[in-house]
Amino acid sequence: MLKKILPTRFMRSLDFLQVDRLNEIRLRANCPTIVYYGGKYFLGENGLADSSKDALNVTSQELNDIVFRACECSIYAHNEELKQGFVTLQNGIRIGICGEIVTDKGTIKTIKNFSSLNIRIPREVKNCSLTALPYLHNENGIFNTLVVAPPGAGKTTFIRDLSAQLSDKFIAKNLLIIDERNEISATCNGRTSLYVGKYSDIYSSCSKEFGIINGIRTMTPDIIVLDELANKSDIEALYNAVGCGVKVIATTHSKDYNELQSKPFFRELLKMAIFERFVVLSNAKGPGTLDNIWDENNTCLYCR
Amino acid sequence: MNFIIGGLMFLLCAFIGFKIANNYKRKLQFITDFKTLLDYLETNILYLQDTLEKLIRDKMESFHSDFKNFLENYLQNLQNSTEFLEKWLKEQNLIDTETAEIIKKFMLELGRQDSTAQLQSIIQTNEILAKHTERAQGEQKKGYMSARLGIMGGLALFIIII
Repeated sequence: MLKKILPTRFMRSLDFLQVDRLNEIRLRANCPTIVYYGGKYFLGENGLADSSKDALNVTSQELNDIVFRACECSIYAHNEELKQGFVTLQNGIRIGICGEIVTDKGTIKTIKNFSSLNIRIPREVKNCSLTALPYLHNENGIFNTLVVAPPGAGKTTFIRDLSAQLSDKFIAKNLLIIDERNEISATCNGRTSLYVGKYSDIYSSCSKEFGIINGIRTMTPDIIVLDELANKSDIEALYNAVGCGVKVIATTHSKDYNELQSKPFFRELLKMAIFERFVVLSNAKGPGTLDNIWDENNTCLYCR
Repeated sequence: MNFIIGGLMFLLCAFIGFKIANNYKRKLQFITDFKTLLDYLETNILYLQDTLEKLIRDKMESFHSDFKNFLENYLQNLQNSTEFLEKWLKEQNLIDTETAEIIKKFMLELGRQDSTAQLQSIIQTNEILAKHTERAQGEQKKGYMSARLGIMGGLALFIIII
């Protein structure tokens, strides 16, 4: 998929690398290209480069072309994503986009003149949630769980695998994934590119609010899985879901459990006592390192 | 001998007449097909928001061969259409340069804008093309005359020669 969107000279360079080790490509207009390849490196003509002088520089036109191709040559069809600063490719590769924001009466219309892109390549790490799984359910069912981790620490990978484990293990439970950025399942034409379980229902590319309200009405889920809680409306929608007796598994950005508790926004959420388990991931031993699991009473159930 | 030469002259004149008429007809068909595509895109970009390739492929079969070929080549060069459209503009001789420029300009922008700007562009192009369509319709009438003239001229030559 990368081949379809990147300029030829970049693809020639990536041919020197093992694509399955590649996590991220950072492209900035007229600046050296950086790749995350088990560490931070410059991307040169023949794979990794030693210095910024040897690195490939991307032009503004090339950035525009990459976004155009990532949007399947149809910007209008991906404008809702663009407005939120990203485009997701068919296989779950997410391109974060910076550029000039076009607004009209305070509402964002689109982004133009792209200045930098962050291409993130998703990983499917099978069974990565197995260590945590026994702590996340009991004989009465699943606990409402919040996965806490800093960016790039494997939150999405974790809940993807957790969804698959829960879906395959608890067949009697209906599991609904609300995949706002289409990163969890990478659904295209009704088919998932990344495994999220045989019995999972997926709302892709829709807001959490819409997914929760309509999902409860129409799909009668027992468990709802969603990524990246970020604002008040997400929490309100979540509160409605829990009020309907639905179990929720969500993720959020935070360095650790203590930092989460210090955020005013989450302090309210913690007061609501929605979540019964907190899974903390970090980059300590590579992305997806399970640091600890807390319960709602601040008791540490698991510690690395 | 004169009968054969007269017959050949008749066929030649009629052929030229029909050829001219056919060219005018194809020109009108090309512009009409383009306008049909614009209307189709206007509806579907607004509601379905399918990708350009899917939209065009779904509609392709309903177009005449000239426009269909043009679209097929365009889709093949979708990711980098500038070069293809420049070449098409230079090489095509079916429609006048002014109309071809309008089509080229629109196709270059197609897919590169958000739905509001894209719809605006469709509406504007449709308006600009209205007078070109009228002109092509007028020319098609000339085309019918050419066909008739070809037959009449051919007949006249045939009679003179025999």
